Amino acid sequence: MNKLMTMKEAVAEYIKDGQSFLISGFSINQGYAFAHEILRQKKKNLTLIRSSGDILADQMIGAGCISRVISPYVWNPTGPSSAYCFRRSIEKGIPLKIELEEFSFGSFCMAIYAAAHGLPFMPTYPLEGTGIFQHRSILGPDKVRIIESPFSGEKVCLVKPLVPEVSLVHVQRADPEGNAQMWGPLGDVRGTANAGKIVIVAAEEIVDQAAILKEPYKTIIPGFRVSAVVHEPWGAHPSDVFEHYYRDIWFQAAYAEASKTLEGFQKFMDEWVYGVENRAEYLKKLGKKKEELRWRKQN
Amino acid sequence: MDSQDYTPFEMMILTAAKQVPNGDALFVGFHWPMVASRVARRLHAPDIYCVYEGGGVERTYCPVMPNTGADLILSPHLAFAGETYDTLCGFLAAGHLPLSMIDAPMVDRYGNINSTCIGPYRQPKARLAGSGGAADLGANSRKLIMLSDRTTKDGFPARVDYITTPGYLDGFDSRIKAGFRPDTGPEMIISSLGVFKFDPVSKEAYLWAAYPGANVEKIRTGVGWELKVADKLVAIPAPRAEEMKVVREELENAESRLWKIPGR
Repeated sequence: MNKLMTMKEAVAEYIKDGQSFLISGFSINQGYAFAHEILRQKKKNLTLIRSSGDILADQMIGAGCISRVISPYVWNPTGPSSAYCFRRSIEKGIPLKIELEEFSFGSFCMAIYAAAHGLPFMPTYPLEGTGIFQHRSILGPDKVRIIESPFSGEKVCLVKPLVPEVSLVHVQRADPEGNAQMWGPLGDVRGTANAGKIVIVAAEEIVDQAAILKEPYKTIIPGFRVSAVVHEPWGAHPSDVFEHYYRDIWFQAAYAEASKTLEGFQKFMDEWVYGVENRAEYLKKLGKKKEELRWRKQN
Repeated sequence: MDSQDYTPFEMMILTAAKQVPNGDALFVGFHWPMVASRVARRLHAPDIYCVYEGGGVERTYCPVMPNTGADLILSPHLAFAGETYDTLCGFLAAGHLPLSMIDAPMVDRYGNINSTCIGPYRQPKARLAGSGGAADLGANSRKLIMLSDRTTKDGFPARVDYITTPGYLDGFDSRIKAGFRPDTGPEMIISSLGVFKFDPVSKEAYLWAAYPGANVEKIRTGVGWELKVADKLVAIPAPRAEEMKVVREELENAESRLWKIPGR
């Protein structure tokens, strides 16, 4: 079955105002093309679930389309620098004060694991005494609960399944049916992809099914779990994709500088998000920079 | 080398690097631990495994400074490319890593680190990044070394505004009572002020070692609690010129990849 769509079609069909969604990618393979199309379509009141907030979350918060964030952290790794929109939101309520639920990355992974594996909860690592345990918002008392281990009697923290209504996943390649392949370090991607009720895949490359069947060990989610497939080369820029391109730290630094002020942020977004029709136009703007970032054979 | 020829920050990086035994596997947190592990690999520990939260395990030296531990520029140097479930929730959590290093921009007398907010959580004066894997490193590291480039009380408050990385919480047995394993917890804070260890009973940080030319009274004014000093304060030897050369090369490497370096 051919599930190919354009990004515009996929976002219009599957992302509804007010719902929760997850964009995969722990610093690598971040679904920027998804995020930017959601912004162009002016979606509102969304809950973003993400393993690493990163610049992607910062942009969506700054654009005012996100009301709630569930994530272990939000920042810009280059420098490192503040995530300035995130700061403006939390410190000053600009453009709106997001509700933030914070996990440790390990506990986030366990909650995702519970979702992907149909478990009622997962034990996680001790959190009592930390700010993450103390402060609860979106998930309330259910964020973390403590039980006595029936085996040893020791205290155990539990997290409940974190189920995104839609998981948006950027991978190296997929076939038109949605068999999606990723290789290299995977970060959170296999888990977060499989946690979604609905899964949309964007891929650097669309390949025939024969190529998938030849290397099935690269598949992180099978086609029957996937609702739509988008061909989106360079869809994770400025993050990096194994054997496709390197991280654009210069772009990340430029974003940090621009987003220090509200005006600078808006100008940046007008240029790179609202001023382009789609990812293809974004890439035209990126121009020769692509050649510098393109994956090279290394020894 | 003469103590005018290097900075306490450079000594912090070198001292941290020297804590890494050759052949060990260690969890490398973001920021200064990455620089320290690279210095260690070049000076005396070429055979270490550096484990990162993004799922990669680095076995050889990468000439280019990575942006984070998950930067794919590290690819040709990885012996293992898995998931966060394998590294942070696997090798670290299951106790297979004898050593971990973490950045500690604000750390209190009981070794609790704040990387979340300055001021009240709901209405902070400044909002910072948040945990990432930092809380898990605090929970599961068998021997956690904390690195700080700070020299003033705002970097060493008596009590942090928010506990991102759990250290010894309220001291004494509070960490154990909160459900943490007895074989986990902070080992030392290596900072630009000097090196702190934790009292075995109270779990309070005390000054254990000082850099050449350091003034203990001046160090006291840099921390937010009444600092105790070891009966036999360890004098860290002056660095050799070739050691400092490697530290500086790695800091330049980081700077060329847009890292902000103190004093530059």
